Amino acid sequence: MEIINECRLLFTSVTVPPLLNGLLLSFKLAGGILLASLVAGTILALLKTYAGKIIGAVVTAYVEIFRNTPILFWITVCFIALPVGNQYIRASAGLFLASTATICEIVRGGLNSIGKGQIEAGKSQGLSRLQIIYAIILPQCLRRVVPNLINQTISVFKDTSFFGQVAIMEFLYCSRKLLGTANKYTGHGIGAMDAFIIFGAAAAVYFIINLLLSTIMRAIEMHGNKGKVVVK
Amino acid sequence: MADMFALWRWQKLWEDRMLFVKAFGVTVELAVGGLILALILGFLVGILATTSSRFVRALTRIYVELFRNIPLTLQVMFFYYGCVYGGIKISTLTVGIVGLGICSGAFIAEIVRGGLNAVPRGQYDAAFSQGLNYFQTMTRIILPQTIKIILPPLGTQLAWLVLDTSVLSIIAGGDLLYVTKNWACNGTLSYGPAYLVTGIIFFIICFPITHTARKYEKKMEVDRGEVL
Repeated sequence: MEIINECRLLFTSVTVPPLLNGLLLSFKLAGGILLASLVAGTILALLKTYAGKIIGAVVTAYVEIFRNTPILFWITVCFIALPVGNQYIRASAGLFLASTATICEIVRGGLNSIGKGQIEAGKSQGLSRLQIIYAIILPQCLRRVVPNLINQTISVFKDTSFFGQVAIMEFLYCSRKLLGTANKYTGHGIGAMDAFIIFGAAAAVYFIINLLLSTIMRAIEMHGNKGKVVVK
Repeated sequence: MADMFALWRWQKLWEDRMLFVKAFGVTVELAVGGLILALILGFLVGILATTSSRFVRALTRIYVELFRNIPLTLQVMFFYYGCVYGGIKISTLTVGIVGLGICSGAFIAEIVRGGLNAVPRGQYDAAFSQGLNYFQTMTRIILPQTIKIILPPLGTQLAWLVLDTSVLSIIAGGDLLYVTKNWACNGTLSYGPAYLVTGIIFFIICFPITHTARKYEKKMEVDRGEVL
């Protein structure tokens, strides 16, 4: 009973809207970063696979550097060092670079799994290299790596929680802020129960969204496996 | 930009090097402590996830899904602020080791479960037919084969654990990234050398691990290819 009462005091029409705004911001940042890094990662993977040794080595170096250093490190570095862009772009850049490296590795795995015969078949039809990549290789490749992209989507969404460290008002930052000012709403000192309620609620939100993400994406994957995806 | 890496900034960094050495020690402690806890939890839960009891399997599923789908940042904060506001005195090192261990344990449990499932059913039957009990079967027949299969993903997981120690900087954990940030923010604003050195340290620890894991994985693919 005490818990319900405490929840009522903590989650009011004053405190909930900022939390929802934070969640929305987390969504937007995660979505933007994912889309951008999907494009950039795919291009890097194509370059690494088809564009000769030197470019391949450069891409490999990039991937290795970003996969072997902490994401929070890059978020902080980019936030401090980037001379252009507003705070959102500067903060997102670090996660974007790290996510691009991961997606490059994922897509490269997909590219390697596609048989040589596909390229030869394309050539025999008189398609150019770009046409082969665009029309034959990429659609098959991306369909194959959907499960890994699910995991990456979840990872990126989870990693938006780092943005609080550079004062971006994402969901976890807002939750933490609410906890810090909880005494204003409950009328007594901040206790362990407040921490459990607020962070518990935040955990539930992250958990449900990520579970939903993996369920939806798995459904898409099943659909793709049926081979009934309409190619425009 | 050139001023970012000016010589006097490097000298400053060299004067305060012991701070970084100490922070490096904390990061290693976090990683090693977290790894030990994660391995114990991961193997325990991973093995339980392949038992015949539906109830036990459901429990392991809940543990794995819960800790894989919630950000480590939030897990650490939950634990830390829960203790702080609950009046329990707890060091950030303990919070870090327990937080990293439990979270990483969930990932290792999935790896172990996958490895156990990859061992053919016939191996169990053969072991039982020789009169071995469940414990003997696991320790002598199944686990040695499983460990061979799961070594590469375990290596990758270890590298992630090292990288994840940086999350502790959120609760002032005294780890490498926290000290870097603090040192650079205070006074001289010598971000350049501090972050460069820290990045290189992380890379030097993690690259050999991930590199070896990948090489071993490729070798296993080749070996398996020859058998088939």
